[in-house]
Amino acid sequence: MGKHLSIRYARASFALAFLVTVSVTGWKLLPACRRSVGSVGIRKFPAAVQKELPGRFPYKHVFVDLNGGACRAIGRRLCNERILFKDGILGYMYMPRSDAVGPYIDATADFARRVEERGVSFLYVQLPGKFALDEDLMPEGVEHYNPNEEALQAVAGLAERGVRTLDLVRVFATTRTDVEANFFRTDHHWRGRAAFEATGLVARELAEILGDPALREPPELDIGNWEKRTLKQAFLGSHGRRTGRWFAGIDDFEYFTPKFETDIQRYRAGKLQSQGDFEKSVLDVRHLSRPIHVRNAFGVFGSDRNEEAFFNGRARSKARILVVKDSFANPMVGFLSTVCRDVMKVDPRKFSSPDDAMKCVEKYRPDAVVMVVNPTAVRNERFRLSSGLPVLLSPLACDKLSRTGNVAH
Amino acid sequence: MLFSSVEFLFLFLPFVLAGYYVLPFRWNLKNYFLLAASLGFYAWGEPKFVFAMLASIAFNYAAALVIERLRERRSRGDRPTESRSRGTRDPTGAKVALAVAVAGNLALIGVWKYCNFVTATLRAWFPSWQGAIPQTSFLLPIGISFFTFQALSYVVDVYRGERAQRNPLLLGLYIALFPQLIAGPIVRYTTVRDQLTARRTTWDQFTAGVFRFVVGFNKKMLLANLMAEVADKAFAGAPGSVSFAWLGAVCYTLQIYFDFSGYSDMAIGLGKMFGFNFLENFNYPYVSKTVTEFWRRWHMSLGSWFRDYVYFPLGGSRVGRGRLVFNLAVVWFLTGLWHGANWTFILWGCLYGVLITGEKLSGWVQKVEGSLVLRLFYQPFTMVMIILGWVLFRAPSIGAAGHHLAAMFGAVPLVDGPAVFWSREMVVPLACALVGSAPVLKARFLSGAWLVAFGYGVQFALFILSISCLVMNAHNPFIYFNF
Repeated sequence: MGKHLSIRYARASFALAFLVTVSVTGWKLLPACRRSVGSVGIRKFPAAVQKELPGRFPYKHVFVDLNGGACRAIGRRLCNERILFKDGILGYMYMPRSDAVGPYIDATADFARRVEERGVSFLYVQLPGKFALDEDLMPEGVEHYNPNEEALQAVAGLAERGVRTLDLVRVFATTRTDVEANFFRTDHHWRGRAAFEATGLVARELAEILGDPALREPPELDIGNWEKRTLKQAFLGSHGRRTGRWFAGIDDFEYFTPKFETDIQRYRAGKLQSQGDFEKSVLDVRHLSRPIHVRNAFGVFGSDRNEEAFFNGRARSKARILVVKDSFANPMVGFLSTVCRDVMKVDPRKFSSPDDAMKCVEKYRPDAVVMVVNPTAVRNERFRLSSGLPVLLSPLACDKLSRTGNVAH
Repeated sequence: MLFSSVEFLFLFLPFVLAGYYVLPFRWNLKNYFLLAASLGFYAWGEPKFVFAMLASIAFNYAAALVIERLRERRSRGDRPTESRSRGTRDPTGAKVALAVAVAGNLALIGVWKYCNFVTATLRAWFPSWQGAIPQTSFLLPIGISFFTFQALSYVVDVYRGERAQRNPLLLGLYIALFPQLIAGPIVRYTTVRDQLTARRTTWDQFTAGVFRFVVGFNKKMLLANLMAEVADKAFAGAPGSVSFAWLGAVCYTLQIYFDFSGYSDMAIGLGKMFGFNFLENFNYPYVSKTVTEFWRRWHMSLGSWFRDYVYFPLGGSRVGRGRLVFNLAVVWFLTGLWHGANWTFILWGCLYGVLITGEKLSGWVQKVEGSLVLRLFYQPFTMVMIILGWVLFRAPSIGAAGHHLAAMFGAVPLVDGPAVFWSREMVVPLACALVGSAPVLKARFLSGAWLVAFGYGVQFALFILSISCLVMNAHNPFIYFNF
């Protein structure tokens, strides 16, 4: 009798816990349902709810942590489409592809040719991916593939076509030690320190291209003139937010502010957004105050918004640089703005046509175009910056050209 | 709507439970509410096809009443015939009405489920007929095989003497009740007849239902979905190694068991929560000693349906050997066909037909059960045949199945990268799945009160883990969803 009573009590407690869990969670999900009905109507409600609810699940990050922790506890290396490499770094599971590099080289070389035909210098900068060249980081049994190899093929192909290139893959990702030092464990991006060093290398190249000695080893790009701020266990990166903090841990995060004075204006689409010192106008430290499970700390270095421009009246170089980039180069644009007077950044992922890059060149009339991309650009259609067709300018661009050709000031 | 979805678990279920227990039983209010909820459940994913189901309910309601009336007229002797002698068929209206009802139900499933397959096959076999035979493209209403078979069993039972349901809404509830609507178990009308109008849910029954539901949910989310990761990769193309081919086949064997039995557990648990007691659908099929025993433990509601409505009417096993072979061939052909409109399913059914026929004709079942030595050989053989059968079942075509089977038996190297990677990834999940597929946890030494209470705690912890999988993996369909 005692045994049966105990079992009944246990089962009753179980049932009550179940009812409380589903009811309370359902109650918290009701606002999301009301929003779905309001936005799409009754007919499309089921599909909208199915799409919306998992993303709005209460305390989703706790469940993500739990799931990742359980995967780790049972020895799994794959969690939510992210894989734990041999060195404990998280990443995508790449698969080989043979058809991406050729078209990418063709489009980029054509873009470079068109830029130079307009009297603008062009520099292609290949950033590294989170893979070491000298080692197979994939877990045992996973086919070896390294996107940096594709990137190096792109660099070699462009160099053969006469495009000026800067290979940073071999600088920052040759060995496993390089990767661990230069990349976040839980995010696909590289660290601010690596971006800073890369900016110095790009500036050196630009000094040669433009014949501008101010860009050759400027003190603004000496790390000793910058203050490093480190936040311990502060960044759960893009991969980490999918797998939770218990799968691969949390990264420390560091960012840099200049010890020297700065006064930089930031524009977007020609309108002034902010003005002041580097921390105020270039960085966005509000990201650091968000909860860790929604904190995109890498966003401190700047957003992926298209057509942002930085004007630094105090810069030692009068160069106008147009940076065609992906998110890896966000820190580099900020650092470069401490040296160059005009730095404009555009993001091909926001373009509506391959020729938008050329239209930006016409619009901003830079001294040099620097294309700064990570290896995933090779496979991304958005980064094929030329359709091979003549560029047609919009009336607005023509109007701007007839005035100053300058949107920053 | 899936049971393992956020909208079902956290919105639909609490709402329906609350509404059900708030409403009184008087005037069938609880039943009508359940019917409305069930129709809403079906319409959530298939708004157009709910009308097909309503039409099926109306048709079978009317058909059963007609059959009963004609049957009672025959039994009252209203139409005596001089030919009522042994061995002479007495074609009564009831039999004709039954034939019409059966034809109507089979037409529903025949058109929606098999028309595309038949037209594609005819066009492939007879290219000159392609002009005359258009390729149809009917969409398959979810759960049509299940609710049509329930309706068929109802009209046949009425013909056999069961009293027809006078209330169309209660018949609708029987056919459309959401716990077993989409993927079974196939519930007989006689099982729930009294429960439709005279059930009372006790607290013990309710809590037992909750526990059963959660166990099924955990099976689906934690075991079936994990096994699916490997199975999907192994069956995506021809496997590159013997070990990966076998790993994929074993993972699919476990996936389909935990997927389907998990769903059945959820259905039975939900039934209990609303006062219904459905019969069991699985009984640890992978511990079977013979193929015959496997089908007494796997999808028992389907096996018993074919036994009672096809095999026995054909004569069962109380016939000569030739007729027995024919009867079994028909049953297993139809079993395969029921599972899907593809030659792989038909071949899968025929495989079991051959094996079971062989066991029956040789008396092998009794021999194996009586001899440990024979069991030591035959039980592994049974398991291997089951696994090979699942390869046929899972493959998208006979050719693909052939490639996979060839890989399993040496047409490719022994080991490759995916085999190494996935076997390491799946060590713990496979171990848990193997333990879970056998009645280990039901052992007597594990029946102490504290251990049982601890087990409840473990299941709840697993439930929370299952929710984490649900939150991260929004899409996780059931295999039998499409039958």
